[in-house]
Amino acid sequence: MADKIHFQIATAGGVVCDEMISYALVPVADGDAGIMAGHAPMIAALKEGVVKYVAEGEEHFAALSGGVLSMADNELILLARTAEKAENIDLARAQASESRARKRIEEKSADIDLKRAELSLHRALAREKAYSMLHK
Amino acid sequence: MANMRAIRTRIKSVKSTQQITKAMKMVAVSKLRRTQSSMQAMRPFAEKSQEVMNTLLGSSTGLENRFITPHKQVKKVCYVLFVGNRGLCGAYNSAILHYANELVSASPVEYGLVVCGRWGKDVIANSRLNVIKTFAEVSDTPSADEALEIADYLKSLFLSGGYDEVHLVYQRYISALRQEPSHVQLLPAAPTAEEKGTGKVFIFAPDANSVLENVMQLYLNNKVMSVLLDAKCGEHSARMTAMTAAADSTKSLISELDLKLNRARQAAITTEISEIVGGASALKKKKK
Repeated sequence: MADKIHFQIATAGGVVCDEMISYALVPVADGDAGIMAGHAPMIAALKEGVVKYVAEGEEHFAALSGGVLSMADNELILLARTAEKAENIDLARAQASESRARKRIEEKSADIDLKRAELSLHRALAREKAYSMLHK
Repeated sequence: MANMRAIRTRIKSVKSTQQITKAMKMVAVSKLRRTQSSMQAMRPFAEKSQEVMNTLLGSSTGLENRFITPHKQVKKVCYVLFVGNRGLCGAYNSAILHYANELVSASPVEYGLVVCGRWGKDVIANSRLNVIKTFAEVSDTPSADEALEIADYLKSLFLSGGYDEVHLVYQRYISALRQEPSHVQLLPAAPTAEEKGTGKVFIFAPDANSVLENVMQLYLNNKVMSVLLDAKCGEHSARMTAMTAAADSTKSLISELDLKLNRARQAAITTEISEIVGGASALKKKKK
């Protein structure tokens, strides 16, 4: 199947997704990268966001938080810090962590905490976005 | 007889101890299995990260990263001590504490200790080690999120310049019967390319250095996670061994006590009989 990509999302907690897909839209550091079969070998930095992939004509979504992308020989592997498929996302939890992060940013306790709060805010927003894209 | 009653109570209490140790053994076995399966779950991730690292280091030179560049002078070293969450696991905890103590006293520079695990609040406090933080909420079957929290803290220690080196001190899991106290350096990291790149020309987006930054983040999280799982595997198997030994010795203790009980009972019966016989023969003599 020359027009398909073997697509995997792996985290330290396990492999989140392992499918044959025809197209993926991945959030890399300098914008979103669309990837189809036959893409040149590439290694890229991932940022927090939503990855969209098309498997058997259906669109799927997953929320990512930072990591690395590796594409070679029609094998696309996303190594992420954390990853969740949209259908497994708990919206209430994402919203709770978003408001928690926002509160922490407002309080501005220490700069390390601020960075961490911003990161968790991005993560929460990515999760919410993935959820809303699935359920629109 | 008072002696027999005492032995019976003793047997009862030993039996309940036996039940507890057996239950703890079963719990340790199932936790060990769960920890090992999460070790397996992270394997594909670890392998792929190493692959990316190989390609990256193999295909470009002059890479720089804040996690790799050593600080100019090593003034303060951070040791991260992985202990268990509770005792009853043989010498597991005390051995690693002893090892850490030796490590610290041999170190020529100032140090700080980060403790991961609930065990030994008092023991560690009494040993007068300089503890800067304790992660007491590490569960028995740690998840990736818990490892992330620890990894993030250690990275910030190193990056803020507070500490110039970070070492992980833990019981390395060798087999279910053997763990070995050991330590590895986490930061500054010295990632190695195990083999040369595949020869393919990769596009790095946006550039090799920013990719390296992300790879390093994953690499460090990975390392902390694998050490944590290793330590936990060791803890569970140490507890398993200790509890098996305890259950076995309660078994032999019970059979010993059973024997004593039987002897005491027999002795009581013998005395009774000789008393009756003695009494009867005394009566016979009187009649004559």
